[in-house]
Amino acid sequence: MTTTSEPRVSAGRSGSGSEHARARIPVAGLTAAALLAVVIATWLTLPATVPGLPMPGTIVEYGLPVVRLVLDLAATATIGLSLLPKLLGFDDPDRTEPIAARARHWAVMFSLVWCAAALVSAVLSAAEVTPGAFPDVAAYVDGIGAGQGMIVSASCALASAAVGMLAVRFGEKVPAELRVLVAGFGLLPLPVTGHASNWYWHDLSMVSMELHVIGACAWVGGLVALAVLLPRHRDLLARTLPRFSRLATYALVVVGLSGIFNGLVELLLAPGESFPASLFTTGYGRLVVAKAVFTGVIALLGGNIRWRLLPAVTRQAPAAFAAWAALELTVMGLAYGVAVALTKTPVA
Amino acid sequence: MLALPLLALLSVMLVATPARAHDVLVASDPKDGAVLGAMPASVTLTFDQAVRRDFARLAVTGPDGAHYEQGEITVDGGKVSVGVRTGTPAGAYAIGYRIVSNDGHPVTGAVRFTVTGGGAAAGAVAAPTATPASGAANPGASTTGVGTAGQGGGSWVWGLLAITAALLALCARVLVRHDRRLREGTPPAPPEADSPAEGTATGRSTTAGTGAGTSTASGGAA
Repeated sequence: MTTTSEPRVSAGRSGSGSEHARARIPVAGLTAAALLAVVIATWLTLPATVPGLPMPGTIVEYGLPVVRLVLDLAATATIGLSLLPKLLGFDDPDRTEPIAARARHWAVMFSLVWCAAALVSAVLSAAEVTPGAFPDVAAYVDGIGAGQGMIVSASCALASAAVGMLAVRFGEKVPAELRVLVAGFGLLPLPVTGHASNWYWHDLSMVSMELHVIGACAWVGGLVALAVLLPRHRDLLARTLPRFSRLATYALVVVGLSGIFNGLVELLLAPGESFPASLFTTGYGRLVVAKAVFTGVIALLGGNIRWRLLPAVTRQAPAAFAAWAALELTVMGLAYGVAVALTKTPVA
Repeated sequence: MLALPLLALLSVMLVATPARAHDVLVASDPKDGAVLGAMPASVTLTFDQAVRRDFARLAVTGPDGAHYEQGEITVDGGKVSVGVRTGTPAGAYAIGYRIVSNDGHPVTGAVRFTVTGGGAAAGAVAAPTATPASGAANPGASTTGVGTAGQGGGSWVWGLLAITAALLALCARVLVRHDRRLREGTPPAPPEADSPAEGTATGRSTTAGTGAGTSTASGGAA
């Protein structure tokens, strides 16, 4: 056992500098793009000051979207890293185990970040509705569904971290399905914290939103996991990328359709706004258009990986997978940032 | 191919009469931009959905920047109203509002109107109407006060949050230390430390296993 683990350790040390730098590029692209998008979108849709009433401070106005973004990205990473063992397959444990071990480790880390972000988000949300006063988290969580959603999500993240800890200890004996399931439960309350519509088609709209969130997490998270952990291992990538490609195709269809459905529903139902015009006249409509454009670009970039790079990758020939994946992740980051602003922007 | 069901769906949605989660101001008394001869005894904002009493705030700001709202805010369904002080000067007024939608998001905005009449006259005119107006609003207000029930639990929530934060920090620290030990290539524990159940497939996780043993233990202790 000692001998089998030695090569990995030494390899990790020898080229750690450049390797770590390269592994960071996709993550940095995703995070930086998402932060940029969320700050700009928040600034554009900032509510005007209300005469006679205190407004939330800058920390709350910008902190809440940023923390929410951290939550979304951490949840995405958790889902993606939990999915990775399924994508890697179990045919060649000697080759996949070092990768899977790193994935397990980081999945727990991101679960912890997710939990913390959900709790901070609940506190900031409470501060947002009672500006000028000390945030009353208990009343907010007690009275408002969004607060409860955050707490439930934080609890699921904590449970996901616990299961992940077990997986770190016992390896792949803790089934990947269980880890995905527990983390996936944590995603379910998130749409409730957005525009949880209570209209006639409420159920359909909620199901569509759940699908949207789950699809986006599996898609982006899977790509993050692949882009960070696999580019150096051509043989593993050759086996994993086709599986991910199939998943990504389903995710694209699900995310695209559910996103269009929910965006149009919100716009169509906005009182006092005529529909096709409200795509461009309202802040919400503009964000929907921006997100649709990003999704189109992501689909093109994904198609490029699928049809131009995948044949080379499966032959284990050199292909610029890492660079293209980093680019795709950057655009995904923009979409994530806009998504956070979208959940908070009033339609009319 | 996909456009057909989507179109069908859209057409169905167009005829549905919905109520959305994000409350929208649909009417106000006085109206936005109105020019009034005298200040009314109370102002009312109407939203498209029922408004939560516990987080609703209204402020009537006068031309001199002073507050002219008076008394408790009353909520009756989608109508939010507040009384106005007597003796208001003529000039431009603004009703600022912040309510919380059903989805937990604050909805803010302002309604502006102008009063031309003098303060004393306005107050005298408004006074008789004030009593029935507030009396009519009171039944709606009887459903208030629910939100104050949860106020007492504030402190233990903060304690719980602090404990959770400490737990998260501890878990993260253990993981980081575990990871560093792996990277520094600390010799793994003797094989017998591993549970025999750990199988052949996960042979590589020997080092991972021993480090995480401490992590789960300390996490459980916390």
